[in-house]
Amino acid sequence: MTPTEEFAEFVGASSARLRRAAFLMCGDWHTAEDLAQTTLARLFVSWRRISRRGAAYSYALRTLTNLYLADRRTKRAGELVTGDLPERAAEPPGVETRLVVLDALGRLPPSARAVVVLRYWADMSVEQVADLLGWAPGTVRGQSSRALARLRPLLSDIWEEPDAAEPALGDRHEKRTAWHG
Amino acid sequence: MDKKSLHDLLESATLPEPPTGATPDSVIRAGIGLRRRRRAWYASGGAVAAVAVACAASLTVTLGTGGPAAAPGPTSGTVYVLGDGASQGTVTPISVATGAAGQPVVVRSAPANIQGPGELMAVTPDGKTIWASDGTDTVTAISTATNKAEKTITVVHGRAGITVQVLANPNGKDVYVLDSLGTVTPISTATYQPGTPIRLGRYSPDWMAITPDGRTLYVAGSGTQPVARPGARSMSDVIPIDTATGTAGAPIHVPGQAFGITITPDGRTVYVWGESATSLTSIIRPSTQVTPIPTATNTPGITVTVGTGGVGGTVMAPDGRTMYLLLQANNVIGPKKTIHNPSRVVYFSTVTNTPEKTINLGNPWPQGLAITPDGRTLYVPAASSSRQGDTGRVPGASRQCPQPGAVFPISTATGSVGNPITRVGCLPMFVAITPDGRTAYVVSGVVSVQTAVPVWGGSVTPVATSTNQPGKPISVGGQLEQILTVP
Repeated sequence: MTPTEEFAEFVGASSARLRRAAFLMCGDWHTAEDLAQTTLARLFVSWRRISRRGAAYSYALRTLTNLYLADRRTKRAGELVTGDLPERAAEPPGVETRLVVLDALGRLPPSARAVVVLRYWADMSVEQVADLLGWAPGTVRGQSSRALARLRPLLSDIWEEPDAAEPALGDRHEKRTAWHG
Repeated sequence: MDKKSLHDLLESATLPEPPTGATPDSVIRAGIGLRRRRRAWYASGGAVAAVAVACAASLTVTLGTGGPAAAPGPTSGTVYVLGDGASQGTVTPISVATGAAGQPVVVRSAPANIQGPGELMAVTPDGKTIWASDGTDTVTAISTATNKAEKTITVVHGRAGITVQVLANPNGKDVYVLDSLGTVTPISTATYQPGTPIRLGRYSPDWMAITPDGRTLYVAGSGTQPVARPGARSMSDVIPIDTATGTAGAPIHVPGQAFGITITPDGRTVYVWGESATSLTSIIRPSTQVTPIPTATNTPGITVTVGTGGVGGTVMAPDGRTMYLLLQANNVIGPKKTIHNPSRVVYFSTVTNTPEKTINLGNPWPQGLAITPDGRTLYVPAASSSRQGDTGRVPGASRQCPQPGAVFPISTATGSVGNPITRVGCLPMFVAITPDGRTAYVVSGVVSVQTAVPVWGGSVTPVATSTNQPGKPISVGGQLEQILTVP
């Protein structure tokens, strides 16, 4: 298999997931598509330098997160949080949940939002997120606990925290993922 | 209402998912475009010198026979702009004298869908024919006398294969088409017939350059070696091809990822430049390195690291004594603040094979490099007119163009960066300088408001090099990919 074929296979396997991660960070499918595309295009440039193919997805997530954060910082792009969704013939079930979650995410600062997506959606540990973003683990831990504290009242109706009194949901979560290796 | 875990809540927020237009092919094409943007190339021969300047692009300037023409006289010649429109790929001629755009020559009657410019157009040494790729699998010969397509040849065969580069041999006999499958196809300029393809095996090519005598073609890329082990240093291969026999020689191994090749005007040394890569960290924060290879022995010399940051373009001084490299600023993004390492222009001496001088550009987001035929001035197109980069509100800003760009002139003798030349379009991507050195053409794209992602297309603005004053912009349709001037 040539590197290009390998890359094509990687794109097929990962692009949908990257686009979803981007959407959770930026809250807009069009921007998410652009972020995912740009990420993959950059990955292609470096593809032959990524000797461990297993690291490719982490690298893609890191590029995606950095692109998202850089875009936020340099362009001061103002995301419009709106309650109006595109019109739909029949709303699928769960649309309200979706709105509430997106609205809650939209209230987080970009870096906290990225940390939430990486930790609780991409199932990464504090150390993995710290390594991915090049931050100190303590920074990631602080960002995620502050983010969770902020999300808690917003999502109280729909979010089942394993133990609401214990803010370290992430730690429990880590243990779970650790068992899976 | 049912309660869910945070993971499930986030997952449900991504549903329903709209359909995507992205395919592996479109991503690969975008990636190839991005890779092309990192390069620049300068080759100088007796009859023709071509300059391709990159970051976002490449551009080619042809010099008239006998080198740069210094004699005064009316500015003449034609500028050709390769564009990739929504429905077709075109080459648009622009008269240097009148600034008027002529009827575009269609080289593809379907969207080429290439994001980002490439070295997809070359002119024969006699200046009579332009060979332009459609970005996918064909090249079209265009007569510069009539500005009409003469013949279209399919050169790339196979899935996921697209044209990487088109290059004319200085001897005037052949044009070479390099494709992403690792094949070099020579085309006879006399008969317009493709010759026997030169297959480089399991090889992913990035770049080719030819010696001024036209005898040896060097192709840089990777893939002839076994797959690297985790942690192993990555290597690139430079393959020399004897153009007379069409045979490939033994690969020359150079460290890192080679992006491009620059050959000195005397043909004695091949400079392979690219980025270091040994780990994930160095992919994020690469260093630019240069490896000299004497053409007499084809044995690589010592690889020199010229600085941190990826390479954004290179040009060779016309006297061949200095190679200029643009190093991109690299931003280390942290949770609280971002550390900016500035963009720089490095003077790399081809006499001592060491970097001699570094000029700090700040970070106006430079896009490439161009040099005047007399070698006195470098032009750096940049996305911002401020060397501090994004400064918030700037004069001339609009919703469509929140941060108008500029071109920075740099005196090669003193290394001083002059005042930015503004009113050259929203996002100046590349600069082509006419053979007489009197006019620099600045090709600008526009920035997508939604994503701040560059969108190629927009305008070509002439700038008088004597005064650095911009003229009236010329609109050219499509995403502009390359510009080339013919005397």
